[in-house]
Amino acid sequence: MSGILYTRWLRVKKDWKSLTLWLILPFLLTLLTTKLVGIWSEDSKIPIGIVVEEESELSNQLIETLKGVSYLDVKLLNEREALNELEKHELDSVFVLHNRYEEMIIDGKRNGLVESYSSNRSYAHFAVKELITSFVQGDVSRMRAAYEVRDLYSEYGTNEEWNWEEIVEASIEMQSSQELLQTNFSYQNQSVEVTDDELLPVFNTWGIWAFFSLISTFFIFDWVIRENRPELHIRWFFTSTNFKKFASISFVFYTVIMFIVDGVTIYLLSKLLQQPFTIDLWISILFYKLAIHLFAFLFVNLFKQSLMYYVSSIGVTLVLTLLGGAIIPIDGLLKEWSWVENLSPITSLLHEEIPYGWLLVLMMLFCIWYWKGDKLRA
Amino acid sequence: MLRVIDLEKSYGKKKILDKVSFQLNRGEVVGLVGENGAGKSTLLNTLATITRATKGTIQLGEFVYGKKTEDIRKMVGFVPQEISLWEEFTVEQNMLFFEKLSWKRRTKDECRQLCLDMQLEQWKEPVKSLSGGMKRKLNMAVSLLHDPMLILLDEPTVGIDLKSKNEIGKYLVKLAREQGKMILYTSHDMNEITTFCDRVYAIGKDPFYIDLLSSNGVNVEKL
Repeated sequence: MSGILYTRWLRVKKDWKSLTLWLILPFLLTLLTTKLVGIWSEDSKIPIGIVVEEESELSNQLIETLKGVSYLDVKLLNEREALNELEKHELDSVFVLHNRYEEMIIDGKRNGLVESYSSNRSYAHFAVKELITSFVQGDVSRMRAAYEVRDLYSEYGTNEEWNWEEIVEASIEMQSSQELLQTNFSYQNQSVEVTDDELLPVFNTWGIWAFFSLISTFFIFDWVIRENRPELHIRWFFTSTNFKKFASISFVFYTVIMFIVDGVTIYLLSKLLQQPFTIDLWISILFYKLAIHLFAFLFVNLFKQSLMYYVSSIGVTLVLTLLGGAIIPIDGLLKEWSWVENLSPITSLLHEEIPYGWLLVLMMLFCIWYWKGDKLRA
Repeated sequence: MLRVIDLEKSYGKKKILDKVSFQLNRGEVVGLVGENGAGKSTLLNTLATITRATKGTIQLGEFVYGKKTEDIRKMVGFVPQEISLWEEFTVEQNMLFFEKLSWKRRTKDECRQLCLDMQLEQWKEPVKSLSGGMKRKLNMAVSLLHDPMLILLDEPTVGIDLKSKNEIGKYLVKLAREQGKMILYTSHDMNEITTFCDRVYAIGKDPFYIDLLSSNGVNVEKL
């Protein structure tokens, strides 16, 4: 055992540069990809200018709502600056909230509340205009409802003082609590299962890490090909340990090193990218890594040439990542065919579960590989 | 003592070794000659427990081949024809790598001395930068790490310069005489064989046996 560990030390001392590179690459590439996706999504937002001639509670509320729209980049400018930027095509469109905006809404006036400007290169003007109109209409309707309530108070002679803000807030709360924008439909006499599952976002940090981690694991495990060269087979007949025992202990050695580096990687990524981090996620990452280490180890044993192994492992990585839903979400598929989740260990990782099926099969294959004797024995 | 009786080895229908019998005593250096394809390497592989004999009996000391293979391997040092080394490691790293996996513990100084015995002084050199002859010397040193009783060498001196060849030959004779090792090696260099070997076995179509230590110089006997 100590002899094998010493040989591992010799190997790591020799290959420390490439080993270090492959160990930290998942961290670097995940960080880079996530940042690039963040920059790209910022760049792909629609830039619009908002001019507020008179600041009021309702105008501020509208601006906050617009800032909350993921695909809009909202800039608050004065009219001259806004139109200047529009002329330079730095803005897609400009919207001006006129004086008396709040007053007009309270009075129930629907027209002339907002003025819009666009250029000959405004590609999203119409869509954004429709969006702002819908928000403003919402506010107008809410005001109208509040005044209806006030009228009812006075019609029935109630002397209680009515609170306009309370009615507006109550209407906003009801809108969100009754999920007016998201409803499950079903046919008559048919029950539909309502789940609280959250849909996975398209770019999931752990999905990206799982992809790069899988690739780096395959490349780290190429030591099996390098140490199982045909010209060196002869040596294993005259050593105190056979190649399978040597390879198994080496597998544990590399797995421990990768677990340590992955632990640090996960911690740093969760801190740097403000990712929520739970014990369930830790456990699923640990078992995901164990599964892919076993898989890479058994897979590399099928090859004699490094180049063929590298090409095949990249192909397998892409297939597992696609099937795992790390690049394209597969939640729709999973609802239809639940067995799809067993096709890739990445699915389990993304759902913070343990890939039991993969682990069971891989451990059985590992045992078969280990106990299958050497062919050359006299 | 190594005793081989009526050894046969076939690959499919092709018979490579046909009723080979000989004996190798402690302290002896024996040469094995024969034309290409005569079965020299097959015989050495069989004696090294790398391939199994089709028929016949091989006995090494108290062990009969077919049982207790690991105990037999502990007694056998095999120097293969091809270079079986980590090319990316230095001479030192190669020696230490295989020493750590060996049945016998040796100090770093002992490992180095083994290389010096083989006329290999480039301790810190990477193997890939060594000449073919130097690699063969290291190949031999690695095979002797576990201090085997029977040393089988398959054309070990190919590509080695004449001076080193003589030194290695003398070293092998010394191992045999002083430590009682049994040495069996193949070579196409008859000068080398007649210089260092006590006896010569030829295998193939016309097998013969020469006792180089007999009183009249050369004694050729048809097998």
